[in-house]
Amino acid sequence: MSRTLYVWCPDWPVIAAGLVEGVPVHEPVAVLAANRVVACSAAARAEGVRPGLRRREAQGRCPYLVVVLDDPARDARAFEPVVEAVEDLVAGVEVIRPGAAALAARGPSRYFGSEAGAAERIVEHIAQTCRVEAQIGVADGVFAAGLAARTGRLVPDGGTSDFLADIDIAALDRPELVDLLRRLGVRTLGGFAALPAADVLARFGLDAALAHRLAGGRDERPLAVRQPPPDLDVGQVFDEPLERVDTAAFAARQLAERLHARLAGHGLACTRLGIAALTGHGEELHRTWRHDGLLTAAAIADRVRWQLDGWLTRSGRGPGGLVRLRLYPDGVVEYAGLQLGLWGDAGEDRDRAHRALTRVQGLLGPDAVYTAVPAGGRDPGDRIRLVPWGDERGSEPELPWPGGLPAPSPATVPPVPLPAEVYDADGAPVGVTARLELTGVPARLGTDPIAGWAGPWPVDERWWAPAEASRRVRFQVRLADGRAYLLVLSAGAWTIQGVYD
Amino acid sequence: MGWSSSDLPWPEFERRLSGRPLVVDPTTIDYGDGSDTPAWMRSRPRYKPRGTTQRPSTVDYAELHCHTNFSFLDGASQPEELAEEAYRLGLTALAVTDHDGFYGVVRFAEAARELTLPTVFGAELSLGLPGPQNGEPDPVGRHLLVLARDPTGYAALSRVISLAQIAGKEKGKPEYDLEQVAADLRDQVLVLTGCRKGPVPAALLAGGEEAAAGELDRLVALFGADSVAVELTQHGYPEDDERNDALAVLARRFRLPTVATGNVHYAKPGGYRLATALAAIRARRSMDELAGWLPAAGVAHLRSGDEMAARFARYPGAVTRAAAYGAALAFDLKLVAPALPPGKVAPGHTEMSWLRHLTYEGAVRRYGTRADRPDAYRQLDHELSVIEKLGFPGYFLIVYDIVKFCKDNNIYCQGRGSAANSAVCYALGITNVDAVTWGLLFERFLAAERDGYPDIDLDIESDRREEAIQYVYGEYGRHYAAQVANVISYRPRSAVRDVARAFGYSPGQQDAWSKQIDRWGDTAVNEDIPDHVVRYANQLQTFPRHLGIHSGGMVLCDRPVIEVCPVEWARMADRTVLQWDKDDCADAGLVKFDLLGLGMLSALHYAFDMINSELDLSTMPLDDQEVYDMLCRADSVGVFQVESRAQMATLPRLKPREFYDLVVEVALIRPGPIQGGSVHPYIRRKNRREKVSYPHPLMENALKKTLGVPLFQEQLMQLAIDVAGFNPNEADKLRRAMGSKRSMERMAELKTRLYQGMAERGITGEVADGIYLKLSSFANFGFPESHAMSFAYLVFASAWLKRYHPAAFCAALLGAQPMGFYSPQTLVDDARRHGVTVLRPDINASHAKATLVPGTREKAGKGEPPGQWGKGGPAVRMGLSSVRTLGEDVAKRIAEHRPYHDMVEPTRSPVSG
Repeated sequence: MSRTLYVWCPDWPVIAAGLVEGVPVHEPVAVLAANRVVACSAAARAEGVRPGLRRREAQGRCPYLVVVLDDPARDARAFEPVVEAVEDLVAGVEVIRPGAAALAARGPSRYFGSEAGAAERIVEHIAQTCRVEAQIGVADGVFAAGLAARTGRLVPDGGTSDFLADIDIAALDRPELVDLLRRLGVRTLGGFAALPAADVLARFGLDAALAHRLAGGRDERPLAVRQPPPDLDVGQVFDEPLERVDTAAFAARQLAERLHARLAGHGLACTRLGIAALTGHGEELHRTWRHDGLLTAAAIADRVRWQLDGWLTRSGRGPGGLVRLRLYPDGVVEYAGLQLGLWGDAGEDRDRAHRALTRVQGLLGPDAVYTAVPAGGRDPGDRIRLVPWGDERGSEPELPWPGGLPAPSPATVPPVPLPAEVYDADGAPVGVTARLELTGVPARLGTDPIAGWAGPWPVDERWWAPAEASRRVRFQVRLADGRAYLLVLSAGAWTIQGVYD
Repeated sequence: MGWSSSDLPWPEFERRLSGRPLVVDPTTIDYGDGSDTPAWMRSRPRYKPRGTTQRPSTVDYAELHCHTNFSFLDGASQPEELAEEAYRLGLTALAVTDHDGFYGVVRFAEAARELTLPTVFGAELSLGLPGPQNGEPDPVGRHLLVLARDPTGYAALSRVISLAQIAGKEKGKPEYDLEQVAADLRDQVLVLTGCRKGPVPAALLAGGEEAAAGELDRLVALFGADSVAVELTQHGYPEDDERNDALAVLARRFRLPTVATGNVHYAKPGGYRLATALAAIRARRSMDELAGWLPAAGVAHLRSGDEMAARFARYPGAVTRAAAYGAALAFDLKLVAPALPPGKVAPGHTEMSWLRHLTYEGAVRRYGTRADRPDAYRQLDHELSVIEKLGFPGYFLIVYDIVKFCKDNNIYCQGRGSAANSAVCYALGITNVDAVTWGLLFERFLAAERDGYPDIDLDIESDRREEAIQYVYGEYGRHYAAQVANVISYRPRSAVRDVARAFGYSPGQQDAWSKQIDRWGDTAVNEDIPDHVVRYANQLQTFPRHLGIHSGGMVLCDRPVIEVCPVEWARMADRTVLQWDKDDCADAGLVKFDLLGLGMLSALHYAFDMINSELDLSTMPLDDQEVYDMLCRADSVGVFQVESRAQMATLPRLKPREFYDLVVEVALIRPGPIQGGSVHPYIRRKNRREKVSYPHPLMENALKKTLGVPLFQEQLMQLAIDVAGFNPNEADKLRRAMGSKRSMERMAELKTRLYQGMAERGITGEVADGIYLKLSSFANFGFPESHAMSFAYLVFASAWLKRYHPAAFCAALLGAQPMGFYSPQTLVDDARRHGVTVLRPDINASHAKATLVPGTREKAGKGEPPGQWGKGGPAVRMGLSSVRTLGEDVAKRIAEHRPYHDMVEPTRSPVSG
């Protein structure tokens, strides 16, 4: 039976959310999967939140609970540095699940002098490199070591079955079996282990027989040591700083092909491409490119070239030159061949336009190119939403928006409404009461006489969200000279919000 | 059965009894859950107009399209608010047109009557609904606005709505057949073309003028050209003018009148925000999610004639025509009030003579001959003459008929509440309390000047109440009898929950906040809950949420009830209910009979069957000290009314030793005293910790039996008689005026009369004020002595069973579950503590319900210690239905097919079904 050292980071999904998303882990935080709490922070536990609670129960106990959705990938990603930290010290680590890893205790304990010494080193190293708290348990077998880690115990050699004997049966983590055993009066692992193995197999089946071995401290499964993940990044250091676009393009093509080959070798492709460069002045540059299809070698090369072009030619950058270039794939997916639309959406023209806009974006930055997307709303200004080029556009369902202005829409909508003054025939400013009565008949817009008007059309939107609330009355006016405007009266001030041509 | 507290919090009441000044916190007033908790059964206080000044309008206008908040979660103003605002704006009439019903008309009519505002009644019929529209962001279907021309039109419309509601086979999904509707309503109603969902405007929007003309043509063909008007509304939408122009053109083409309406959903512009929150609640999503469907701004409020004239200047005559229609269609809802169905009498008798006959027949059984009990017969004569004068014999005959049915079918039943004040009810067997012997005040039950029928509520053993209800249906016909609705209104908790959801808070937060609400009202609002949630939750309070079934109220009338009030499906299978609650029925003149289920009566019935005896309250040994010993020890698990922990805590302090102590106990024990941490003055006096004193010697007569502390409503009346020389009728008037805060004028009048009477007897100044304060606080709080007395009999009967037949008592309680305060497990434990053997369920020995296994003796002996009562007596065999997951039906099937010889048999059909 092998001595096993178990590294356990408590509340890992919460810690991971903290590391990756900056969630404040010292406040009440819960991680939810399928509407149930899977992990929570100590502060949340103090408020009565427990794993297994439903979302509304958890929020019922702690209304200001920060809720994070469970993301196993995030947990795994965040755990990677921890495993690497352990691997700095010892080889042969098995990741049990994000937040827990096991390794054979023999080597490190001999190397560091004792099991306790090894445990101390590992905890310290994890704390220093990753700022993560870990607990260590040592016992015979992964199962027992895992339980030992919960209390940070180093179970002496040969003491494992005694250690397990008093532990509650629930530790088996097989709810149905545990429920049944409890009803039969078996409440501890020791009690379960005391049953004859053959009878357990006959009565409860194979899985229970396995659990029975675990309960007795006879965990003989060898560790499945992990393979470090493939390193997909490609990079190059240039002795001569790259200063000209054409040389940069040449380097870009080479790098792109290497990256693509490496991805293809693993049967992968990427949807986002990260480009990082170091200039001669020691300045770090990087930028991530999105793409709604998968990036081919040529597509990668294009983007790298555009980006380098941007960096090298952008004014003010100076002749620093690039001394190092690195490409890293992001959003890696299993590549099973890309399916494009059958017709319409993948034509040559579309590709060219796409390329041109992406290029402009490369030069000016990702937030410089927008697409206008129709959106819901009552006024012309609300009906357009600007989305950065290349981002997910989304589509809003068509809602009725009662009180919306019907066609024709004003041709010009000033980005910032222009102030205006509306007077009645006597020169008094025109207002509207809460019961929607005009205080006067609009006769002049500034100094221009009004020939016709329609309204008032009131809107009282989003009053429930005071920051976005808008209470206003709209009018259409036509001036004597034929110009027509959309006027808005809000909080006593008139503005021009649209010009009809 | 829960005791619901009255309007007054206990500490406040205690303060008043002690004579300190009072401050009423308006936030603590609520109207209860609508169920009839005994005695201080709460009713809605009568509408009292607030002092509004009318704003004169130069143009006459009547609003013909107006939703109250009884267009559930659509309208955002109470009917009363709308009536008030209409009055303030000087409208010449107001119509109420809720969706598919007359839910709010009684409250509206009552308020409007006080304000002298003419009323029009109508409804917006939802045509072509595929299913209930709760949860839809934009309810589908076409709306048809129909206004009744007169009471006949009202009856026809009510009938149409009822039939459609019933035809829909589901709550919230009426099914109209437009042709049939038109045939039924032709010439009796006015049809308006309606809002944007009306057939004509909808066709105009979808298919242009010709499509709209087709729809209008159809309406005219169906309802007649005299009965259709084209409705114009102006809600400040850019397309309003265009649509109204098109509609006006159509009207000219068809030679139909146009009429301006406001399609009102709230009284004032400020109602808009609550209306949007309500829309979100109805659509079951947050306001953010619903933003694209919400109306743009707060314009659907009432407007004055001047405002309307300005808005509809383009359409001359549309506003004044609305006023003309308002004048033509208005009538008082009183006109639809029905009468009772005729009572059943023997040939040759009138209702009165038959009642007289039955009463004297019963009196011989109860009292003996006239010579034996001249006092009783004097009282009977007096009561009968009052009944005759008021014309109520039919009412008594109907109640008698129901009671007789129960007796004939061996169903335990007993009248509750103030009916026990009546010797006639005692003689007829409706109640079991001898009003003459106990000296109960008849006028508390029925006073000569009372305008409504008295309340006789019957408690029927709960497991068989359905039989009595079905009997009434069968006897009087499904069309003439119906069950009363219970309008479920928003309470603080539900309001906070729904408003929080409308604001987009998560279900967990809704839970957390609504849980914090318990203390709302008496402490500051919890700072956890966001202010805006609290603000709108407060506005939402007392708004009707939906209709439930009233626990036992049935109405009977002399004409099809669906012509008085529409009927619709209840959520419970095969139940139809009226759209009115008990107060509405009472106000509209429908007579209500309460047939309430009482679990304890079932339990008593089972128990007396098990010991082969009959419950007979008149022969109960009411002076059995062993029973009182048991109660004094608070050994009362399972005993009617005195079993809760709070109640147990007062028993040792009250130390009941005689029957009247139990009567006091029933009246005294309420959640308030114990929770409030204060001790009821009666208990202080009973334990000699406070001197028994009377503010004035004249009060001694009324208060003597309760040690100078007023406990019963009858005492209030007696006090008025003693200290101010009121006659019993006036005393009842005073009690009701004080209790229901009816009209201030009447109260002021009675108050003057009271002070005058007191002054004549030398009571003035502080003593007089003190008496007045005590009376007025008490009016709401007091308990009718007669009711306490009826219940006290059941307390004694159940206590007696527990003392002498603990096994039967336990088995009977188990059989009548769910009821009472304790779980079956606790009841079994308690029986075991008293020496009863309780056997586990046995597939071959158990019935579905718990049964008795005979022992060596039948009943417990006198003088035994409690642990011995059940020893040697019968054992309780638990029923199969007590086995977890088995349930009543399966248990019954298993029990039917006993005995079983092996394990496989029970799994075969027909047992396993």
